[in-house]
Amino acid sequence: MIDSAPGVPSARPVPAVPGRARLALSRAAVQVIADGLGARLLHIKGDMVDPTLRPAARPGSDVDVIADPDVIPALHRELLVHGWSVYSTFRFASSFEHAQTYIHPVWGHLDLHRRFPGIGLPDQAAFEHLWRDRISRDVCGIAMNTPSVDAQLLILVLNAARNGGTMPEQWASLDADGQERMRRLIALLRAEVAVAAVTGDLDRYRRHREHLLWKVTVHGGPRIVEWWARIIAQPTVRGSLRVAAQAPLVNTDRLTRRLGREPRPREVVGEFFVRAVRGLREGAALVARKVGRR
Amino acid sequence: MNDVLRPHPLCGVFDDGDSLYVARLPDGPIIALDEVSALVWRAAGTGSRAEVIATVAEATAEKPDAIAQHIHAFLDDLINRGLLVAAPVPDDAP
Repeated sequence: MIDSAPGVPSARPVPAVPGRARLALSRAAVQVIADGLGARLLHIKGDMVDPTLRPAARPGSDVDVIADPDVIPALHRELLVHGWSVYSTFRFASSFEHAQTYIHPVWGHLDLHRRFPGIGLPDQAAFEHLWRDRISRDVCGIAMNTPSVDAQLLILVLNAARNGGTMPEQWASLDADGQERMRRLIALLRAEVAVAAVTGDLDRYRRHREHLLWKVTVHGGPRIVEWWARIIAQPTVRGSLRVAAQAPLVNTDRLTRRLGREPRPREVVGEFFVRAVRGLREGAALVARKVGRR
Repeated sequence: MNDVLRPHPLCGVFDDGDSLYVARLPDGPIIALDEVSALVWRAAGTGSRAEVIATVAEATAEKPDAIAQHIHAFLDDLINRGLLVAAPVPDDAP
């Protein structure tokens, strides 16, 4: 700190910085870490949404980026070096296992995406498509990139699908050319099922492996059905086996946050049985409902 | 002492014209600059130390000699924090 005389300029670290300023500087900080590795990032959501898509600025509450899947392990290590810590892991953060969340004492939360829920194309191929049509932006003096405006609109739609929201207004105001571009983009990124979850056409995709997962996401359902949906949504048998194997595992991220410290082995075991009982109850309730329907 | 000043390439600057925050990236901390300190920062981004002193003197109705020491100390602190960089004025400068 500077020892300042009255009326003399001073620079002070501040404990409470307005969210808009903190998030913008946080984005810049994450970008600088990525630049140090030569890692490609696409900044999404919040204040990075193009003004034509969201006239009323909404900075959001955390920084969201989609990273080149190839560099995520190196980026993870570098984030830890710079004081970020893991808040929730890819495995436990959501049914889509799409993002890992970090927290930093200065910058707040970061959602590091390896994919965006609803995009069915393999992660690396999807990233390359999004990267090819990127737009450059300057935030706090640091150069960064966002997906194209069309891809941003699709991300808003997919976000609405996941959060039970409605179609963004800009979707309805697309002209014929815009509608055709969006149709091509949705097909290219294989996002038809998730988009159908917002348009109400999900039943048209009943034979798709992601159908049940989106149905549960939009309409809710017992945990056991959600896990089954996650298992059958995997593109490979290996993926299905991996998800099936972790279904009975305790969400140690959540348990750590609940306890405020690393859980002890005995507490993890205890949580396992609590979850098992909860799963059995939900399964029994599901069976009872199905029997009752006959 | 009459260096040309500019933000460090790894200094993040949030300036919406109303509030001004700067941070050395990627580790922070975030520094709030308000009133006179914001005036100094904005002047430093476009000029030399002498020009910064002149700008602040005009805005505060103080004599340049009376504030020069404080302004130099403040600019030195910003440089030490890695927020500003100073370069000598080129010989062919007007």
